Amino acid sequence: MTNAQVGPLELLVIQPTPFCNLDCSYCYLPDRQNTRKMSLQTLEQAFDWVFSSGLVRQPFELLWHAGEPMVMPPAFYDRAAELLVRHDRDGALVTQSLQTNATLIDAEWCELVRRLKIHMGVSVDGPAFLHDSRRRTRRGAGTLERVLAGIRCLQEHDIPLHVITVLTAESLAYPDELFDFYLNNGITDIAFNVEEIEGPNTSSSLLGPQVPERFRRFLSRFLDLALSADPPLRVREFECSAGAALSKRLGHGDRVQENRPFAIVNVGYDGAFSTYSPELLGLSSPRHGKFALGHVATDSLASVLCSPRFLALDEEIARGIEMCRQECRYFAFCGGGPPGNKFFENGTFASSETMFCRLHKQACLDVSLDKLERSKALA
Amino acid sequence: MTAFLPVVVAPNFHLPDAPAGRLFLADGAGWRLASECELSATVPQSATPDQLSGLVLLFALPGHLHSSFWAMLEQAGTGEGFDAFALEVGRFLAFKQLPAPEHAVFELVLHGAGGKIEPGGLWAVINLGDNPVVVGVRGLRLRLGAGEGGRLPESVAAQVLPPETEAPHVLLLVRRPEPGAEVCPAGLP
Repeated sequence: MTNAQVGPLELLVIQPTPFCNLDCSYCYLPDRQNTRKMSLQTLEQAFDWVFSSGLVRQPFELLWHAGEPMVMPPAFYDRAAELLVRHDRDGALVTQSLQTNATLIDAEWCELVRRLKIHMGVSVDGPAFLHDSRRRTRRGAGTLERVLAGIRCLQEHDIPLHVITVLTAESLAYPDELFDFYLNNGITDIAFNVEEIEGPNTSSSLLGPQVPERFRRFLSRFLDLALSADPPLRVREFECSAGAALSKRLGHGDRVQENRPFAIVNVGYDGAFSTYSPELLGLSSPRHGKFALGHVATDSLASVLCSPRFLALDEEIARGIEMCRQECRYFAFCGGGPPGNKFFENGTFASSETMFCRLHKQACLDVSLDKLERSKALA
Repeated sequence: MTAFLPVVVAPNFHLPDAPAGRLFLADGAGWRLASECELSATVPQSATPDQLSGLVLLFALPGHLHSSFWAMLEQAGTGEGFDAFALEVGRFLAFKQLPAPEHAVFELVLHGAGGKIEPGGLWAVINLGDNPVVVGVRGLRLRLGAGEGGRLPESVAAQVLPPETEAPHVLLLVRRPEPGAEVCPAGLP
């Protein structure tokens, strides 16, 4: 496999620190108490590695994530922007995003976010009885008030944001309450994640046999509310599913970002890098060894692509995708799904359906298409 | 101790501080908040679905639905659009697995001082106004805040107390259909 046969890079995930100031119950980060930080030297090496790899053949997103990125000082991101300019002089190649718990946002951060045009994603799980039961400090205190203060700060500085809400089994009873929460807090752009089985989070409240039906009812009810709001709320799961249907992308079954080698590059605080699902970085398995495939200072992409570890990983992932192609009627939509979920749920990449598939892919597509068909019938 | 009618928050609803801050017990000629001891006798720690039918179930309309009622009144003046609102309330309760009885009758009631509400067939009382509404059921009084409702067991005669101020209560009453009553073809939930 050559450099030109992988990628192109679509998403560069950089973990400036594994540390998070929160201790959410469903967190997949194994090392979130580790307060080490990425050095500017490592960051520079990471950018050099990416831009010299041959993977940059189109604009891509740089996402600061995996740990709380705002634990780093704002000056780190100023310096990162200076380093980026060396490779992306007119800023046409890289769009920066940052996923945060919002508890550390203040006016200084807002000024930086505006200046660097960083797209902001905030993790918030809804009203206090849902959010504070999962997203807590290490002392067990709820965090919603601090999150909302951060969101208000962004809004007062006219910074657009989207939120990611993790759905647990409990959340599925509360679509109306979540809708009220978003409306009351001026949140109009929403993405739902499901509580996934990943890394140290070895179980999920969403594993129950009645969950898929409850999930569909939740999503259907929430979409009815969101789409009838004035203006309608943007819901990522609907937009992705409906967008795929309306643009006739259904039917190709091409590999998707997470299962295409080096469409995603994940770089840890220490310079170790991986590809495929970002959740794999920092983890290992007895059979595969570390999922980190190399280090930005020492390992070229060409050397990784011919390494037995990468080849074995890619071969196993490819077998899993082929199983999906053979077995699953949703394959044309999801293209084989995220390998991380297959590994964490089924113990192997060479597997097909997961809980994540059933909820986040199958149910979302079914419910979204149902809404589209009904709206078409009404038109 | 008097056997009070058990009160719980309906499954799939979340009401902060409920039901403790909403229960009043007879105390001589007056009423007082239930004590911790009395609450433990009045509020079951758990109930099976079968047991729920014999309990008072507290619930709350979501803010968007509550405010849509007032928006409907402002737009339609005299209550035009009420059927659509009642339909939405029915859909919401059905989603929450607290469905109104089939062919239930939804009534919008302005309940002023000195007024009396016919208790027969009441399935639920929902407070659409801003001021608290008090419902008396078998030895206790239940205070419903704005947007809150109480689902009543079939065998219980409930009394909705008139307001203590001049401002009338704004209530959505949901009644079980009378046996043999003609069913509205429009089929409210």
